[in-house]
Amino acid sequence: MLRKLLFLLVLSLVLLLSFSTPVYAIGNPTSITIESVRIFQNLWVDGDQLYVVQFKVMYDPVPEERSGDTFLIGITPTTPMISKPLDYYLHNFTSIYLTPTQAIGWKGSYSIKVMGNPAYFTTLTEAVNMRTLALSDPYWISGSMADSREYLGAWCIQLAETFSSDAPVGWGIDLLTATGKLNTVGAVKFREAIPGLEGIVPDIFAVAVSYPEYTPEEHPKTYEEYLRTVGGERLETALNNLGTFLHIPGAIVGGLGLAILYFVLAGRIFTATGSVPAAVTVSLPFLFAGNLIGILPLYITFIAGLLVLVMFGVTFVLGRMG
Amino acid sequence: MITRESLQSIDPRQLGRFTRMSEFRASLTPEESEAVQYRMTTAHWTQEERLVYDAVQEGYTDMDSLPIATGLTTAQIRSAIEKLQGKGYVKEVIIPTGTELGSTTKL
Repeated sequence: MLRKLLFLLVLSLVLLLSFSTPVYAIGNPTSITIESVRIFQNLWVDGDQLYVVQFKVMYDPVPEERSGDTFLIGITPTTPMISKPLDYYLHNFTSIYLTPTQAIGWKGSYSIKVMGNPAYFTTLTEAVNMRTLALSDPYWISGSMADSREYLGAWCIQLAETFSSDAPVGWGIDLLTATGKLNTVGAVKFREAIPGLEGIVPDIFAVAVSYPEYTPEEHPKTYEEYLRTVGGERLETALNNLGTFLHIPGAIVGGLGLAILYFVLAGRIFTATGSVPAAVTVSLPFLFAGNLIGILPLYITFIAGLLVLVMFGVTFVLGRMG
Repeated sequence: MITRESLQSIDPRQLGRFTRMSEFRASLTPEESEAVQYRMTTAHWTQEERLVYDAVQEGYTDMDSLPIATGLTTAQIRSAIEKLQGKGYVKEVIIPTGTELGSTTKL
């Protein structure tokens, strides 16, 4: 009997431990508020949205658990809920960025919610461990890309001034230079809260890195293409007919004919001068004449000219060195 | 200006992010540096622990003066002392004429 009881006790303990799950718990904050919200549009691309939220999730002492695990910030009602982990406890600000695809209806009936993670809070109660702020008209900042960026820059400076203020308003930490731009500490904070901010409002940073706009040069082959058309229909037809007779393309007929005339000319000059470089160089303009009447592509002439230059360099320079 | 009071509203993780910047550290006055270090050290302490620690630092080291200096009950002070001892910030020293508290580390 005793052995049966002992066996049942051990079995129940084993079952209890094998089905037990870890339970997370954290106390409620002393207060939770949403201090301000601004929503901007058309910042990086047309149709995107940026929600900049200033909040207070006050604790004393600060919990050991990471705020990203215990709290989140989101937009409701959306399906699924648009949310992200909260970056920090206490007084701070963050942002939610929505691409044009993710964006919700502009000036729609939405709310910003800062709330405890249900994994850590058994019940969520408004004003205890959750705060909801309905997004009314003044929070939505409409504008073109240029205007929205300007408004965002101004709002960022205003936020920096708030957090630079002495207690109880702010941290007492200077986030701005004497000229009203974000100093290095402010830059770190704002880059962290609004990724990519420096790319769209670099002027609010005392030191900003930006890449110059570059428009690649275009090199259209308009003159070469024009030269190919100057031959005219009659010449093209004649060359094509001759090509058909010789079973080769008409363009090659024209090039071959020109090449024969070129070498005849070069040979005549060589006979007169005895100099190969002179014969080749003086005959070059003949190739260009072929370009002008549209029976020889322009690049052939340039290749020939390059070869002449190389030959000249070898003959003249190496000859001098010899 | 950075003070112990103003830093009560900043998450120590956020403050730690700033303190890793040499420009921020270089810009602090000695008083501000002390306030930052105090915040980083005591952020996860209860208010009672901070009050007892501050009182001990100021020289209130016996159980007769601590309740007056902190405004806490003896039980609260005892509890705070135990926690601070566990963290290594306070050490109880037995002297022939009584018991005094000393801080093992200074800010």
